[in-house]
Amino acid sequence: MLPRDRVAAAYDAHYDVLRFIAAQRFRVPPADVRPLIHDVFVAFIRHSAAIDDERSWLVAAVSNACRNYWRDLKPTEELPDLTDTARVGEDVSARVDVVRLLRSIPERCRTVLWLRYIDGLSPEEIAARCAASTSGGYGRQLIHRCLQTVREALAGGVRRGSP
Amino acid sequence: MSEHPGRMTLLLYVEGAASIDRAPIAAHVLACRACREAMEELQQVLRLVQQADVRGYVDAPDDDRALLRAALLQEVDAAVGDRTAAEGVLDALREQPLALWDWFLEEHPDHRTLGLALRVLREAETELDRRPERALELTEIAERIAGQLSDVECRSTLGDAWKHRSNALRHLGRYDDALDAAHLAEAFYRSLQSGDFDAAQAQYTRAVTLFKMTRYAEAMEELHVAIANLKPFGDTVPLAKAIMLEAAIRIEEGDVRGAQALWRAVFPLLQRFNEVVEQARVLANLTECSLRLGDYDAALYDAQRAVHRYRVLGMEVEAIRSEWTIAIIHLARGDADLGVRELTAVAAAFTARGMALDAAFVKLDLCEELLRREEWEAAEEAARELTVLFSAARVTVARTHAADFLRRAVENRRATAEMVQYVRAYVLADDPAQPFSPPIASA
Repeated sequence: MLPRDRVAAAYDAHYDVLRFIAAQRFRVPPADVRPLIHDVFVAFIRHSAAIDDERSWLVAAVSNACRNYWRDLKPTEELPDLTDTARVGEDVSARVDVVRLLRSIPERCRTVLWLRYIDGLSPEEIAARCAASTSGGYGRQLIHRCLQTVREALAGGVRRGSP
Repeated sequence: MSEHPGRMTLLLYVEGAASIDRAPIAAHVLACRACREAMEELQQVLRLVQQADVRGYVDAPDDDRALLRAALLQEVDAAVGDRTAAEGVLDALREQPLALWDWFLEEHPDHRTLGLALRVLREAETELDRRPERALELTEIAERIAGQLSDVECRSTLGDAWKHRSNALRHLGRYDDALDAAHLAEAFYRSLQSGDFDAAQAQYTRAVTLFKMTRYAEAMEELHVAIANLKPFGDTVPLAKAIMLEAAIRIEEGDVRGAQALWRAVFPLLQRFNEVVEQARVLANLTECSLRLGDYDAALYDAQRAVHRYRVLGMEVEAIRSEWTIAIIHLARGDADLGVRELTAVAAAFTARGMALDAAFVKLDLCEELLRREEWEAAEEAARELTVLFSAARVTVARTHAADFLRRAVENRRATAEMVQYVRAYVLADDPAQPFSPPIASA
C-alpha cells in the first residue's frame, strides 16, 4: 500500500478513537486536540514501516502525547493511568461504535434518551420538555420508542457487521 | 404472573420504578427465557446510552476531521516530493568531498530540508559498519541541516542525529561518548509531545552500548525500561530488536534457555515485518542455543533454515558459517564421517574467498576430530594447512607459533584433541601481552 493510502486508511479508521481519548479521557481542550492528533499522525507517518498494529501504536502515541500535553501545562496534576493501551483501545473503540450508533438515530430520540438517562429527568418532565405535555404515560411512550430505535440501529449494525 | 410483561413494563422494572409490582415480574423473568433475554437486551441498550463521555463526544461539534485529513495527506505528498528532491541533492553532494558539503548547502540553502537531513542520516546508517568515522561526520552535517528546520522538525531530527551519532561512536569504540550521545537524543525526543516512541529507541541504543561494554546488568536494566516504553505501541520493529538484544544479553550471562525462548518469541514478529536478514540471524542464534542444550535435531533444523535464508539474501559468508555449525552438529551427534566431509568443504569455501583466518579455525575443528579418530596422516595434513592459513591471515607471531607447535605435535604423534582445544583457546583470546606457552603436560 502507498504511504498516502495507508495514512488515509489509518486516519479514517482511528481518528474518532484518538479524538475520543484526547477530548474525553484526557480532557484536552477542543482547540488543542487537532494539533495534538496532527503531531501523532506525523510521527505515525515517520514510523509506519516499523508498525504492525496501527491501532495500538496510535492509541499509545495519543495517550502519551496527552500526558505530555498536561505535563507541560500542569506538571503537578495527576493524570489518568492509561498504560494498558490494548484495553484502552478496545474500550474506546467500543465507545466510538456507540457514538456512531447514536449519531445514526434521530436527534430528537437522542435528546429524549440523554434527558432521561444522563440528566435524570422524569417521564413527566420529558413529556413537558419534548411534547408540551404533562403526561407521564406519554413521556414513557417516548422513551420506549427511542430505546426501540436504538435497539433496531444496534441490530442493524450487528447485521451489517456479520459475514 | 402467567402472561409475558410488555416491554414498557420491563423498562420500568429495569429502571427500578417503584410504581410497579416488582415481585411477580422478577419471578416471571426468572422462569421465562424469552423475557429474560428481552430484559438483558434492554439493559444493554440502556448501558450504551448512559455513557456520559459518549454523550459529550456525540454532542461536540467536529469541524476538524476533514481539515486535518486534508492537511495530513498534503504533508504526505509534500514529504514524498521532499524525499525525491533529497535523493537528487545527495547525488550531487556525493560527487564532492564531505568537507565541502556544508559549503554546498550554504550556497543552496533551499536544499536544507527535512528530507535531506533524514536522507543523510540514512546514509550514515549504511556507513556504520564500514566507515564509522564517515557516519559520524554525516550525523554532524544532518545536525547542521536540522538547525534550519521548523521547531518540531528540528528537535525530532536532532534526536535522530544524536541517536545515529551514538551508534557511530559505539562502532568507533568511544563508549562513554556513545552513552552521552544517546542521553542527548532521548532529551531531544522527550522535548516533543509525540516523541516517546523515539525516546524508547534512544534508551535501547544506550542498552546496546552498555552491552558492548560488557556491563550486562546495566544493559539489561536500561533495556527493560526501553521495552516497557515500547510495549504499549504494540508489535514494532524496535520492540523486536529490543527482545533480540535481551536474548543476546541472556546468552552472555549463560541463560541459554531464556535466550532461546526470547528468540523463538521474536521470530514470528520478524516474519511479519519481512525482516529476512534478522530472521536468518535469529535462526543462527537458535541453532547455537539448541547445540549448547544438546538438542541436535532442533539445531540442525534451524541451521538449515538459516543457510537457506542467507543464500536467498546472497549472504554467502554467513551461509558458510551456518554450514560450519551444521558440521559441528553432525560431529556432536556422532555423524563423524559426514561432519568431517562438511568441515573440509567449509574450510575450502572460506579459503576460496580469501578468508584464511576463518578457514584456519575450521581446520582446527577438523584436526581435533581427526585426532579423536586417530587418523594421524589426515590430522597431520590439516595441522600443516592450518599453519599455512594462519600465516596467510597475517596473525601475530605468537598465534603462528601456537599453530606451529600443534603441527609439530601432530607430526610427532603427541597431539591430542585436548591440545587442539588449548591452542584454539589461546588463538581465540588473541592477547598480545600473553606469549604462547605449550600446555603443561606436553612441555
